[in-house]
Amino acid sequence: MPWRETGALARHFLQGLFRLNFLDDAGEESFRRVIIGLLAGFLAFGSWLPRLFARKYFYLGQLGQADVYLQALQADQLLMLCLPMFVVAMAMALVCQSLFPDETDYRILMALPVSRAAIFSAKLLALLAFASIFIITTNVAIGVPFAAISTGPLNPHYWPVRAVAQVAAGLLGAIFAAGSVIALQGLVSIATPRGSLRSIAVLMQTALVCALVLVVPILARVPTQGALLRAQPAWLSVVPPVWFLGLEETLLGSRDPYFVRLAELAISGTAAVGLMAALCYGFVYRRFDRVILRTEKGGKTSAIRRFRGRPEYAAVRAFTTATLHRSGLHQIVCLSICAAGLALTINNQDVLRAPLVLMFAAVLGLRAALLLPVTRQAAWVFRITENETRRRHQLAAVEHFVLECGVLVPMLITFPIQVKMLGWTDALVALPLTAALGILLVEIALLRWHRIPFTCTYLPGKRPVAHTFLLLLLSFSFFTAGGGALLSSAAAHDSTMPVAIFVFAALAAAFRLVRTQTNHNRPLEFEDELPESTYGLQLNS
Amino acid sequence: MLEAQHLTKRYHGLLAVDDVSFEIRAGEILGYLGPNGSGKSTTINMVVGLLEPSQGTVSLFGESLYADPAAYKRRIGYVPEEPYLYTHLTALEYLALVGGLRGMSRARVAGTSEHLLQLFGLWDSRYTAMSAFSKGMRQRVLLSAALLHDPDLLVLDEPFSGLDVNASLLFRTLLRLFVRNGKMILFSSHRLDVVERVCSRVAILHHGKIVAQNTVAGLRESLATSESLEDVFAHVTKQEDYTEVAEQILTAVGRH
Repeated sequence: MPWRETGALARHFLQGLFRLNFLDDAGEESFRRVIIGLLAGFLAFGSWLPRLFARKYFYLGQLGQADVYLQALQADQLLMLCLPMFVVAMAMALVCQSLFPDETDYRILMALPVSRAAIFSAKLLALLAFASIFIITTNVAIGVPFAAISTGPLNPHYWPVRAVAQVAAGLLGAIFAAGSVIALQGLVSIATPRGSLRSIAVLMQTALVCALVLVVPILARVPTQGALLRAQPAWLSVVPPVWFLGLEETLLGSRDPYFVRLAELAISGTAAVGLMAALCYGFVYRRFDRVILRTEKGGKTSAIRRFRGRPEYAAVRAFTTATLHRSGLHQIVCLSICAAGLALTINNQDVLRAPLVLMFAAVLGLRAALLLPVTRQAAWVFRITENETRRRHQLAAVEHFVLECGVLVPMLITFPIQVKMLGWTDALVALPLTAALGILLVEIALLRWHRIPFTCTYLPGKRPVAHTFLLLLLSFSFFTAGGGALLSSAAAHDSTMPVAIFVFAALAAAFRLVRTQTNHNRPLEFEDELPESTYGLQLNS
Repeated sequence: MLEAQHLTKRYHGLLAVDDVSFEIRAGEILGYLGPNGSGKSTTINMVVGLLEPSQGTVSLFGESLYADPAAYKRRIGYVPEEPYLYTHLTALEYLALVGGLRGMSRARVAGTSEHLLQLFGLWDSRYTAMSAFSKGMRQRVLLSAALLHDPDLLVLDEPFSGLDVNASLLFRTLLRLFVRNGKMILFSSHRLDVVERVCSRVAILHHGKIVAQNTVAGLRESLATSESLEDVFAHVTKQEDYTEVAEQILTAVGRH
């Protein structure tokens, strides 16, 4: 086995898993800043979380009730197993298009004196390294501190023993999560007809990411499920993370048949997905050319809807629709943010606020997706045709697209639910105010928007990550809580409601005026730029 | 007539194009030649309005690019060096996009696109995403998009790359017929045999400067040679004899 070649290839594949091809060099540099910002945020959050848990277990210890203590402990153990599984599954889902050697690898590497075995070994090594980074760091970073913090006089186990059990069960759980994604992607690669592989794979990836986002509110509720776990219902055995809780308890010495059964499920489940992933890899290895090499001859696309209006308006609408319809990256970004909105809506169960939460998520998701470039070198066709008279219509196309998908669709989705829960009268009364708030949201979101979707280079992290996060959090709280309060007043038939609608409509009109006047004078943006002003420390003031 | 006057482009102090002037008269094809890195693509990007010159002007029939970019760009068609296309679109969708961006009516775009795709042999693939297209097919789509609005000036940057023999012949004939009605072509290429056959005049760029500009016959005459355009090119761009370098390369390869 030529180990040196395999090692070099594995490094190449591993670097590729962290690379964002849609960004240019400046964009990748910016992205590194975002990652550093995010890591700083995680570190800050990570130092806060143990204190929270330490207080909780100190309080529980003071209570002196072993039953209550152990019930809370079991629920938290489950959460600490779920978190690494979630992170690993999300990481694997985001790169699932690169889990197997692809057509580029085939065309470039097979022409070199590199054996198929070397290519597959290298890919597998890279994949193992990639998964291991997430599996090990999440489990060690979460499991060990948790074991130390949750140890108290009422806990029957010495903390290093608990740490070992927690990390061991967590590692197996995370391996199960990674193996599941690989097996799923492998099955899709093998079972899907050649012509539709690309679209099915994108669909599966989007569905997987959205499903994981939808799981977040359930994760947040895990610590409150101690009583349920104590009741040991049979149906919990279909929830994989619970298997690993059973494994952890068994490792800690429990001989409860319920936990022993769950531990068996954990081991057999992990072995099954591992075997499935290995079989898929083996199958693709044996039939590399047939499975991976797609001629795409069958990749016929349905004609995209034609839009009315001026030619430049219709062109931008059709281009935006076609790109969002066909680009996996843009779909994932948009739909995962929308899924987060849906998850919050389901978790919140406030019918009046539901359209506002969905609107916020949809507008945010659309904006984020429209910002990302597609085949950025091809944007010359927009640059060469850009001019003052067309600009207005092209930007109107973006505005209408965001209004339709970001405001109208959430309203259409939630209106029947509002009618069912609140009745026709209240639902209809809330409608104009909801629409006014939605339009205002779009106006604010597009206030500085000055580009045709997907045509401008992208520099992530123009603001510090914490700043962006805080801004989003405040905007979301203000929009949904403030808007929700207004909608509640509307439902209570407050006579000031027409005034509120008028005020929001006027605000939206004012924002629109500012935006359109600015747009008229400025050329479209095709190169993203960092802000000129620096964030001064203002130490002199 | 296209007039490029004293075009100069500096990148952070580096002079990429240095005081380049040329004109293309109605009915002419100007071959724009030069070694790699001589500033050809930079000049072309300035001519099509993708790049602003540090100095100099470009005008078409007296209309300055900078005075009224919209009117100027309406009259030009452009085929870039690399087939940069939105490959997730079909050829038909791409032409509809370009036509729309150029403000053409839907009916006109549909009619012209249909004809162009049929004539360029792309009709059967009209619903296939261009990601599945070969380089030659993409090149044909780009030329269709450049011709879609019936421009007065075609700017072609290596339009023959990836084309098979038949398509090259069709392109060559097309270029000759295109200029018959007083239209113009700025033709940048490394294919000197094609340039020699189709171009009325030739401008040769070296280190950002035009070092020769004349008809092919005129260039030969001025150099008192009966050699091919390739030899004229090698002479004016001061190409050295590469035999020695080639031998050194082979020796270096053999040594390790």
